[in-house]
Amino acid sequence: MSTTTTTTAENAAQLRFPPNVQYNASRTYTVKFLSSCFAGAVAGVLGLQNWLGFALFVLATLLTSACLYVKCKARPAKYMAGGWWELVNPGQENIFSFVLVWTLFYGMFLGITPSLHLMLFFVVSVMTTGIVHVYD
Amino acid sequence: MSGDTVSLYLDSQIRDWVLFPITLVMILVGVLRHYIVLLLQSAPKKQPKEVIREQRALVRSQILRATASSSPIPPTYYKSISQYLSQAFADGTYLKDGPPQGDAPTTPPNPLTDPAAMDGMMAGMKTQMVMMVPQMVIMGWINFFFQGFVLIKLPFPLTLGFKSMLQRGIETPDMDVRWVSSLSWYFLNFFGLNGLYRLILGNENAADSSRDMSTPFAAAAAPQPGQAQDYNKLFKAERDNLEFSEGLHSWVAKDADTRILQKYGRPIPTS
Repeated sequence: MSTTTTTTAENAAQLRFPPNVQYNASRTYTVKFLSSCFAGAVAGVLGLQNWLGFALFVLATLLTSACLYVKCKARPAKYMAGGWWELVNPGQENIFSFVLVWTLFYGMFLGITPSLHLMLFFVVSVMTTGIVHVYD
Repeated sequence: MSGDTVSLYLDSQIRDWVLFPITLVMILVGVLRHYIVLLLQSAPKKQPKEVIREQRALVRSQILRATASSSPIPPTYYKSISQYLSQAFADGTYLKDGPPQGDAPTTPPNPLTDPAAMDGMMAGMKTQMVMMVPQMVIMGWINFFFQGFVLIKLPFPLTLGFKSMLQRGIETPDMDVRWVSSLSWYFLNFFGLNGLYRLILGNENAADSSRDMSTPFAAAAAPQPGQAQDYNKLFKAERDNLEFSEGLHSWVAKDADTRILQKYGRPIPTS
């Protein structure tokens, strides 16, 4: 950064290469969508209700943004427009996806015992970490 | 929480034959909608050379202005390009009908009668029709076949106001709002599948339902770009912008020699 130019928001926006920004944005969108789907699956399988389910959604969002932060090498402004809020924000459509998948799995596993809940939870979480690890 | 222990036991066939089919049908119809919209879109009409030149001239000056405050080109070149463009805009050399004759007031073409603008509006309305019809059809289908029984229990509570909408066809005044009918499953899918469409169809897909909500507002603004605009006025405005940016212009490599000397701590010659 030269000392004679001030880094206005416009200058910062110019320094980011647009096709790269777009690619980053779509990748992060995909990651956020997948994480909200899997969070929904976990919430449904565990049989979480009411605010517990939404708490899991918040937790999943925080976990996702932490992972994205690490991928950004702690400089989110360098990789996408909007800085850290862009990282954390789960996107307005993903909350509906979360509710959809949560309802689906909750309805499917309504009549099972708690021990079976736990077993299914482990299976789903192992699958989740496996898929996310492979994808990223 | 006493209501929690009393719960209905649903036949698993309901799950197999209603839950998954509705979701599957909605996904497939969404994909179908996307491809139909793609097929219906006519290719953009080929514009004559003058029209394109007009548009490109504007873009050229905008590109020049965009980097004015930390410009990669030295002042002499910037000023010469900027002044050339400014002069060209004033003379009207880039206008598609040639420089304006006399001072007859140029009226922008009426959007209703200009054929180019009509095409744009028709295309917008066609896409809207295609979007709305499948939704109506699916809602009718669900109401006809999957009516009168409880489908699923929502994992979160809702107020009683939602009861009439979500439990349509089930006449029980006492049942918890969390037991809902198939229509509410349709609504859940309607909102929740946008992310999935984006995943499988890419970013610019036509199956997105959030676009449906915003199109009535966007369609009013959409037919305008480029067709009904008076380029003469635009060029005049662009001249002012060019002048303003010329004032702002600052070369990135300005005084580069002095800066390098400063950086390495050498004395700066004072002449």
